[in-house]
Amino acid sequence: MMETLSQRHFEKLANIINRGTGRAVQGFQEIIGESQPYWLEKGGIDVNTLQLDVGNYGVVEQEFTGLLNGKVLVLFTAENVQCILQKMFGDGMDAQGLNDVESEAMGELGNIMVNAGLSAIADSLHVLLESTVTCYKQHSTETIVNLIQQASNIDRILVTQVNLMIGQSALLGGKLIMLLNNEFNQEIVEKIELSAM
Amino acid sequence: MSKKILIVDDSKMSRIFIGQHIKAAHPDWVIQEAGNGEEAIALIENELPDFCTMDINMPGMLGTQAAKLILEAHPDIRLVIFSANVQESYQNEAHELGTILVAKPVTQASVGLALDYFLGA
Repeated sequence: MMETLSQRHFEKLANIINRGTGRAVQGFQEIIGESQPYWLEKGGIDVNTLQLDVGNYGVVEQEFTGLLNGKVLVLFTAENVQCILQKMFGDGMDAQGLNDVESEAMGELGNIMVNAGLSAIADSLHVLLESTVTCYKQHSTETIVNLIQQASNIDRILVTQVNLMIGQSALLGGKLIMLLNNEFNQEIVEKIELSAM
Repeated sequence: MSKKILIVDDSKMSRIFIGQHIKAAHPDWVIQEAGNGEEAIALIENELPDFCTMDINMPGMLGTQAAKLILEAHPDIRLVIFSANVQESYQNEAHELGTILVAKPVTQASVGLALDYFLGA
């Protein structure tokens, strides 16, 4: 039997994911998380509601399955991707070198952030979530909006702001976007209900 | 005394960073790499390492499955699960295998935890 989550359930889920981002923050030490998550419905998705700048983004994508099914995207502007890579690899690496490692490095960074959020959900709800390996690509803002709008079985979108600070860099803003179906089975609704805030 | 360590991770970046931290602490250790569980099992059949770090989410079998097979066949290898996937289920699975789960990111501190485990500190 499928159920629709209430606003209160979604708020609980947002808090759990927020805690997960905090877990990633603690792990990195160099990263400061400062998130104000908010939910959107699929019909309300556009550049403005996602609060995206027009331009290109580095996008890490990972799917997860279990009692909860969905997809997570981690986005950083192309400019911030370059800053992150320069901070990770130092001034010794030239533009071509950074280009060569971009997919690997950003994929791993996104993997850590996504898994921290998923692990927090799994532990809070006492479930096991299995996830795919990460996929990294650069997309335009328009393509990102289209990808979300065209994602199948997705109704609800959680947008979380993440701010990185690597070494002495300025804050590098990004987004963690979770795409979820609006219908959940009774078991997961009960688990969300029972989870501690 | 020189030791041999196998780093199993589908992220080349993670393999490089783990290797760099290990080399910094133990320059004489020999480092081998594998990009997934199947490759690791095949490598170990030919050359037995003293230590092994194992990621979880990789193409093919899960790292925890590979670790179970490796430890069943070679119980003397000291192995740690080294992953961003820190769900309690996987931590419990690592515990049942008689090992530990070290959380990514790869830093001097996290690699230090693995080294402490390897060397019995």
